[in-house]
Amino acid sequence: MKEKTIALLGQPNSGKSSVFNGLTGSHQHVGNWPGKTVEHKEGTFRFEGETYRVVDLPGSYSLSAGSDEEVITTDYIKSGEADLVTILVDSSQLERSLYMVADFIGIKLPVLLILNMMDVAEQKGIEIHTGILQEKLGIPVIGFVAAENRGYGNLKEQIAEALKNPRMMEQSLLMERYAGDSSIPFTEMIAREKGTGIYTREKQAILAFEKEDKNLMRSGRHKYDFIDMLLDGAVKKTKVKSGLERFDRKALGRHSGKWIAFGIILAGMTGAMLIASPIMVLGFAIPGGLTPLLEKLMNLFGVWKPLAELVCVVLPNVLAFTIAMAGFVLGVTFIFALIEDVGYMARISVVFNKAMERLGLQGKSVCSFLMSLGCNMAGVAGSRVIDSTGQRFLTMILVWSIPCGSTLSLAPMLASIFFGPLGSFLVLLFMLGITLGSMFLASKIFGRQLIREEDEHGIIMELPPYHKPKWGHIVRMTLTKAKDIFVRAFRVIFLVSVVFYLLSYSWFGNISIFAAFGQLISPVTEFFGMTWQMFMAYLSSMVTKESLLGVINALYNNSDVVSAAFNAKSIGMTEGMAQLLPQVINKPQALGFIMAIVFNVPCTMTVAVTFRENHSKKWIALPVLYYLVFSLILSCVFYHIGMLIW
Amino acid sequence: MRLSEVTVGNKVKVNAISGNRHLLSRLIGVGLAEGALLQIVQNEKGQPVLFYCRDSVIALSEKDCKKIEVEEAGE
Repeated sequence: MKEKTIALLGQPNSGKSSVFNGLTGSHQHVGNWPGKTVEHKEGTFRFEGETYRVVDLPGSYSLSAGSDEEVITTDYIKSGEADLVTILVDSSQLERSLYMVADFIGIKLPVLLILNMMDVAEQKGIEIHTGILQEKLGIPVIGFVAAENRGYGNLKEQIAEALKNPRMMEQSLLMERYAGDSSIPFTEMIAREKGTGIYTREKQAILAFEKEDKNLMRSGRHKYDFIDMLLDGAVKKTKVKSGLERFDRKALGRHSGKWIAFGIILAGMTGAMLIASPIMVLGFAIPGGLTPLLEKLMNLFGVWKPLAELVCVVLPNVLAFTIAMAGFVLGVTFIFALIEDVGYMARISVVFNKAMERLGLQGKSVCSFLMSLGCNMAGVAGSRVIDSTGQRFLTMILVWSIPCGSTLSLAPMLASIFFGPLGSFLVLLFMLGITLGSMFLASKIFGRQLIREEDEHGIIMELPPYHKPKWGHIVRMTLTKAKDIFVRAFRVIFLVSVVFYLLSYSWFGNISIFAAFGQLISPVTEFFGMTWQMFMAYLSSMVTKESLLGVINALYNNSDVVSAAFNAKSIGMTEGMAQLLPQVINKPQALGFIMAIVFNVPCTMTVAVTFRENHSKKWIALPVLYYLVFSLILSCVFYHIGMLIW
Repeated sequence: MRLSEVTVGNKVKVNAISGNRHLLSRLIGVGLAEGALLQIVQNEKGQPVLFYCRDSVIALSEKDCKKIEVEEAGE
């Protein structure tokens, strides 16, 4: 017998992913819905000798086709693949979250309703009689707490039972609302429908009615009136609360809210670094142990020298870099998943909404930008919460403007060699200003094409009540992301490094393709204030930002470029380098160079992750071009200004 | 009266919403349909308006609040 399929349906914040994880444990597979950038999660669980397949539908507010999430959800349900649809609602907000139920009525599929977060409802003084709801809806209804592990045995039993004894939702209570509205010719509309496929005739009539925009609101009213009737007698509220909690009044205040957000983000970034640093240390320790071992192996088999070097130098170093990078992503993702899970992220979005609107975006984009200060990749992936495609694309492009953690450590280090501590502070201030400027400029250039005026969505967001973090869920999500980044980063960086290696290997005596090319174009790069060595370092900063230090060092010292490129991070800025650089690079050149590397195209991985998210060659090529031109112009301008000063 | 003009603490009822289909269905999804009762919890200049609607606190941008026509509602 074919295994039964269960679809999980629910609004965002209904605790759907917790239930999915609780049911399937480690038996899950994460991918994308075909042709869409929406995550597709599937898994299995076993109960009493049978296997059940669980499909986690994307969180959406309704079944009306608006966003990608809603289209996917609606299409999936229409396909009829699911043997049972479990609808999850937030018990503490039944009046609103039952809308999904109202929207589902009239679909001929068996349903199990899960009232999640019963504990929160209890705390809020809401008493729910599931029996009455069960009777009115004609389907099994169960109260549940997704965060507690002990409820899952019972849940599996209920699912198996609901499959054995399939029940569809009773539709008359809802349909009476429409039939009772004298402004709708509901009976005639029903008569016109055939009731084929997955919908009842009444549901088809409602869908036909909703085709006209002006009827949407009326239909919404009937659905909510239905919810009120459903809840009448089934729910009792003992405490009535209105107004915001004291902390929330501060956290959402126009000024205080921003300061609180800055404080929490700063603390969060520190926390992220604390998580990341042991992993990074571990990663960078790898070449030390692995390289000698590989060298011995290569000698033993007498491998051709260029290939042997490739294996000994590139492989361990790529591994080191990727682990370090994954550690970084892990730290940032963990902290932001935590901030999101406790419910604070929504407050940050509210407080910075106005600033984001100036960029043509909305409050939700701010989270991406904040994550980008740690790691641009995390910021790009974080843009998934934005429900408008155009705004999401623009957010990703603007993320590239933001100096990430490694840029923020590199640039001041370079600046202090040339300009001392005060000068390096000034350079940092300039960077901050230019970052904001670049974001505005990029939004002016690309905003018009990406976001039509009617698509300029403002923020529409529910502020979830604060709750205790679900650690298991956060850790699982973070590890999945870090593993994903590790696998992808390893492939991309390895490939790029091999190319880099081949170009910088001295095939013909003393000169590499790299050096020959660099010297050839040096008349051009000199105009931008860069020697050819600096220009090559600038190019390498597109692979990983850290590599530029090693490249520049090696090119001036005439030593092995590839190995130096990788080792720069682990050995840091050597004394020799701090003395060498001011001798070969003058101050105006240095100033231009710092600006160029800060605002250059971000690392290859960020570009690759962006492509995975937007699937658009055009919207990768255009921003790459923009950031190349922008950084070179900056370099040129700052170099020539510098020439006037010094 | 428009939703953007309502001061904190006041209770209002939604009369009409103008906007495109996408906006309307998003608003209905979070509980804002014709006849919905709202209580304003924060309305500061330049910030999204925050209000209670069907058990939840909703944040809605200033410009979208201008598209929502409301009338005062008693207890």
